[in-house]
This record gives sequence, structure tokens and C-alpha cells, in this order.
Amino acid sequence: MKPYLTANQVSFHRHSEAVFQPIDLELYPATICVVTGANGSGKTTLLRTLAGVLRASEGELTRDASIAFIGHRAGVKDDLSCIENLVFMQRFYPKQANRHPLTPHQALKQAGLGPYIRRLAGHLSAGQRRRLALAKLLVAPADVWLLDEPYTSLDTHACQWVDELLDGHLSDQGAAIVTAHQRQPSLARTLHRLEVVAGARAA
Amino acid sequence: MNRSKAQPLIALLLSDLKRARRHGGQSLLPLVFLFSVVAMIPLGIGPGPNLLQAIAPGMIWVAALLSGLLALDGLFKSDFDDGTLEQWWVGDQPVIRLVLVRLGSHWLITALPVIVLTPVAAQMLYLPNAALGLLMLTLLIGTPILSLVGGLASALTLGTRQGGALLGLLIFPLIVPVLIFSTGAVSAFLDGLPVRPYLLLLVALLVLALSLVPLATAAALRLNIE
Repeated sequence: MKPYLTANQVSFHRHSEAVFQPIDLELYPATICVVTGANGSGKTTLLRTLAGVLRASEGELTRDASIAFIGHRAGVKDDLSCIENLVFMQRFYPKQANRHPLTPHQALKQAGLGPYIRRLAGHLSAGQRRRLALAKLLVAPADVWLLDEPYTSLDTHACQWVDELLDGHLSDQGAAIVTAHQRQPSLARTLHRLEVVAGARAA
Repeated sequence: MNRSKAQPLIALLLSDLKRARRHGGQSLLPLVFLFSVVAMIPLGIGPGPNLLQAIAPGMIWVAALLSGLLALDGLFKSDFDDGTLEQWWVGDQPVIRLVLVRLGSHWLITALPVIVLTPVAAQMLYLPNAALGLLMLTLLIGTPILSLVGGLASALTLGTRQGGALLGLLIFPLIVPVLIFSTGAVSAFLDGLPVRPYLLLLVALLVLALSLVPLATAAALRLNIE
């Protein structure tokens, strides 16, 4: 089986200083990797590099799969309603032949946003916005999910929903890399761990 | 371009237009600016038709340029702030095409209404009807250049907090040739001289901007995201 994502001594430099120590990673289908590390160790930067938002300054990075990335900033348009946001996302990301998207309506129901279909995203609470952002994974499914602190501002119930999403995704030959600070994904599966260590200066 | 490749671009265009319709002001601001200028000039320099007629093409063009500048502020800023901009680089999206679509929708929202209402402004300044078509043609060729150059400047100043002043400084030197050739064409026409060279130069500028600026804009956006 080929890995979806291979990183070979990948690092990212900002102002010619490595943000994190070089990373080796092979992400196979049906595996989940939890990225840990102290504040400022470069977890977010690593995830953004893996997603392609940042270009790896060193090392080799190969992606052999479709990628969905949800960062700190939700990627949700405040002046569009929930349903309009999801319709946009569904059209914006290329369709994957091997994945089956939900309709925006179904995804909103699953995310517990059923009653707020026509509400502007700008009028949602922080937790609801995060749910809306995560609903992207259902309308525009991808092989690899890169989730940066997906549990932030979610209540217990929604956290469980994220765990269920991850579990379903892994059963579906998906893979995920998750940074998690406080809450870790609680799944009945092996969680691979990747420790990120801050770059040059700390070394 | 096949359908699946065009779909993200269409999605972006539709969502831009929908959002612009929701905040009507985005299209209104340039119009209000244009008509404020056009209405105040006769008050400032006197309503004599001869004088107004002579300065009409220049005034309309300057007003159109400045009103276009006003509208550049939100071109990439809100996408940068809410995290939708960084999504452009996730996966294998053709970022240069997305940039072009964004600039296109910006032009449709801010420049097209100005061009459509130019005949009214031209009437207010006694521009001869015969020259109106040419003025609109120069606007049609010239305003996309403004959108392109403005897009580059707004991408470059994305990370700065008070980018407005810098934006102006960056744009004006680049946009001066457009102003010169556009108003030159209309003046030449009013003097009975050939206008073709002016128009060809304008088109050349547009082609140059269209081919180079999206590349530079995508690179500038990326720099700011990093």
C-alpha cells in the first residue's frame, strides 16, 4: 500500500531560521497521526506545510492524495449563510471519484446546525463556526484530513462528533493528521504520535 | 478547460457576486464618488460648456481611477482574515486562475457600473456625443488594467496594517500611462486626429498586465500567507 503523504526531512524556514526540527512522516491509509509539541514548537506551521499552504524550505514532500485542511481560521465566509458556505465549498474543491460527498443539507444536520441553515455564518457562535468549518469534510471529502486543533471551542457533544467523523473517515481508508493540545482524539484505534520540536534556536 | 476545472472558478465568481449584492455599497461607492466629482467640477470652475467639454474626458477618467482605488481595499483582505485565502493553496488549485477570477469579479462589481453610467456623467460635462463611444471604449480597455495593477498592489500591502496610502503610491506611477493614452485618445478624436495608435497602446498595456500581473499577484499573496 502506498502512503498518502510522505515527508522526508521536511522543515520550514521563516527569516532563514527553521521553525521546527526536520520531520519524517509516512501517512498510510486508515491511520491517524496526532501532532504534539509545546506552544510555539511549530505544529501549525508543520500542518500548513503539509497542506501545501507553505512551501517546505527543505526536504521532500510528496502528496499522493486529495487534501482537506482546516486551520485556525475557519475558512468560513461571515457574510454567507451556513448553507451558502457549504454549497460554495462543495463546488470549490475538486470532486474525488473515490469519495462520496453528502449534500450541504445533510452535512449541516450532522453538524448540529440544522436549525441555522439560513443564518449568516457571522452570526454563529465560535463553536458553531467550527462545526460549520468541519462540515466541509463531509461536503468536499478528501483522502487526507489535516486538522489544526479541531476541538477548539467545541462542547463535549461536538467533540464526540469529531471523534465519530475521524473514526468513520479512517474506516473509509482515509487518513488524518491532527494537532491537539488539550483534548486528544478518543478513538478505539492506534494513534500515531509525532512530536514537533522547535527549530534552530532551541537546538 | 474542462468542466471540473472550471467549477471552482465559477464557484468563486458566483460567491463574490452574491456577497457584493449583499453589501450593495461595494458597487455604490465608486458611483457616488464619480458623480460627486462630476457634479462638483462645474461648481468649482464655472459651468461654461467649452471649458467643461475640454476637461470632461480627463475628469471622468481621473474620477474613475480614484473610485477604483477606493474599492480595492477589500479585494483580498477579508479572505486573508477569515482563512479562505490560504485554502487557495491547498491541493492542486490553479491559484493564478483564482486570482484572475477574483480580479474579474472585482471589475464587474466596481468598474462596470461606472462604465455603464459614464454617458450620464459625460452629459453633465457637455462631452460631445460623438466622443462618448470612444471614451467608454477607453474605459473598457483601461479599467481592467487598473483592476489588475490594483490587485497586485493590494496583494503586496495585504500584511500591512495601514496599506491604503502605500497602495496609492504603488498604483499611481503604474497607472499614469493608461490615463495618458485614454484621455489622449479622446482629445485626439475631438481635434480630428487619428485615435488608433492610442487604442493600440492601451490594448498592449492590457495584454502586458493580463499576462504578468496575475503571476506577480499570486506570488505576493503567497508571501503574505507565509
